[in-house]
Amino acid sequence: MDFTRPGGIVVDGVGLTFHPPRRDSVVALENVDLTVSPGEFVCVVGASGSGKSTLLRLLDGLITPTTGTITAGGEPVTGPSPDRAMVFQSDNLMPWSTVVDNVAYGLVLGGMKRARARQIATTQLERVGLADAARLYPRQLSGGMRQRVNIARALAVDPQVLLLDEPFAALDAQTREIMSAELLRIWSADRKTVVFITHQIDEAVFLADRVVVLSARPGTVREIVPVDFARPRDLSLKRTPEFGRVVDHIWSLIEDEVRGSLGLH
Amino acid sequence: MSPPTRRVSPLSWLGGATRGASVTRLLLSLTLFLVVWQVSATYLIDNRLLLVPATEVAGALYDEIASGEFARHLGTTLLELVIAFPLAVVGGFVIGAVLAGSKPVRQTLDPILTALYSLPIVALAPLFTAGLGFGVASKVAVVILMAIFPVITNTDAGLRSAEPALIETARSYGAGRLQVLRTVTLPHSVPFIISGIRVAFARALVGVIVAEFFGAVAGFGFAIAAAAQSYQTARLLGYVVVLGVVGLVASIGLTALERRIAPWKED
Ligand SMILES: Nc1ncnc2c1ncn2[C@@H]1O[C@H](COP(=O)(O)OP(=O)(O)O)[C@@H](O)[C@H]1O
Ligand SMILES: [Mg+2]
Repeated sequence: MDFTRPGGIVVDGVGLTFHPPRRDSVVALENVDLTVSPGEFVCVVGASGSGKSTLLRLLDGLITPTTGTITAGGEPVTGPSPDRAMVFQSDNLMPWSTVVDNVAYGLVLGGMKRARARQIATTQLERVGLADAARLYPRQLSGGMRQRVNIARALAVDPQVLLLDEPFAALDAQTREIMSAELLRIWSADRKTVVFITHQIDEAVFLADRVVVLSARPGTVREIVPVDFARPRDLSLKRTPEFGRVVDHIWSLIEDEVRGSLGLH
Repeated sequence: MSPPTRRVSPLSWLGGATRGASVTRLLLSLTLFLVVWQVSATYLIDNRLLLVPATEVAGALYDEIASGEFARHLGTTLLELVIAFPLAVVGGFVIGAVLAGSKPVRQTLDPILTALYSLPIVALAPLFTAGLGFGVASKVAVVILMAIFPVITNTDAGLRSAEPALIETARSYGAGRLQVLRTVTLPHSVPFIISGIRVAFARALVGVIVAEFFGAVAGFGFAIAAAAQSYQTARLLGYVVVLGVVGLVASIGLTALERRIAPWKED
């Protein structure tokens, strides 16, 4: 596999230490090595505070590592780039913009004419089933609809890499299941590289080609678990014993840390 | 099955968001006000220096308009407001933006601004009349000082309270400092600035009238003071009513403006 091709990511010996003012510094990540192939769907799981969001911000270029290097498509990551798009946990839509203008946001920032950007945004809204909501404001949508707009905004800039930070965490269980199946459908159409963070192990196993398990304090890669279930996958996969075994294995890797983070032993 | 036809009661129609309903509400409350006024002045309060019936006030106002006095006073007060208020809004926005942009500047100026904002600026009106004369300049000065502080405070608060998550989102799509300002911080601050302007206009009206009390040759405040000195209650109240209408129109106008440029806000 050539990780220097568009969509490939190489994380090499990356550490990140926060120095918050007037508080002790926090080693959020230490010595993280990870390679992601172009078109691969990678999920990252780990206890709360294990550095998952920090890792994603590093990949996007919003922050720079204290140690080590990150390259995307063979180029060092020095800041945000239109080659990568981020989907945050809270939908972070601009409340003053209509749905279609929210989806067009990245394109217009990138210098595209608004009319053209709206055309592309409309196409993306059709993809996520929200063509009828184009002229509404975000506050008029349900949580699930807002999160689909959030994803459409990221897809609209046609990135090589899609970075998602617990995008479905705020949704109810049923909506979450449907949304993850939808995400797989969208992903299978053009196979962008996806790095998807979640604390739901079954969600990770359902979606991923590989699941990266982070250990906490400091965050580092504990194990990378390959998931070989055939694609396309549908939700019935989740009820098979093979699926349960992979979930159990990953759970055993992080159970102690989750207990630790709750103060239980 | 056909959908059930729901009878809309007059009361719930009146509470609705239609234009017809809000105009009806306005007319109803004006009528109520006039009736209460007329009844109190005719049957309850017989001190004619304090209150005269609304009909007499209307008559006095008509005389003022017919004689051309009304237009002269309106012209002067409007001129003072038209010069001073935009200056206060623009100046307040610029100062507020500077404060929001620089923490050291903000922290240094904050005590002074707080003191000035809470100071009854109208107390300085006689000083400005003495220093700047009976003309327009002294009124402009008072109005600016009255109106500028709410705009400063609200601009500063609006520009600094944008959600960090939205700013980070903008950055992740490649926005630089200016683009963050244009696409996140400024739109976020629009409703703040408009409510600052709303407060500022109320204070500007107080400022212009009080400044005219203390020495002027024309203007609503001058007319009110003159009417009071000659015990012409009807004429005095006529001008007060007009001021009330000005306040009402400004408030409706600002609400319409806010709907237009900040349509995403819930009412
Ligand atoms: N901006 C920051 N300043 C200081 N500490 C931070 C900052 N962001 C995250 N951290 C700390 O880094 C660690 C990892 O955080 P995060 O990446 O958000 O974890 P996760 O997403 O896995 O829950 C936590 O201990 C968190 O408190
Ligand atoms: Mg997180």
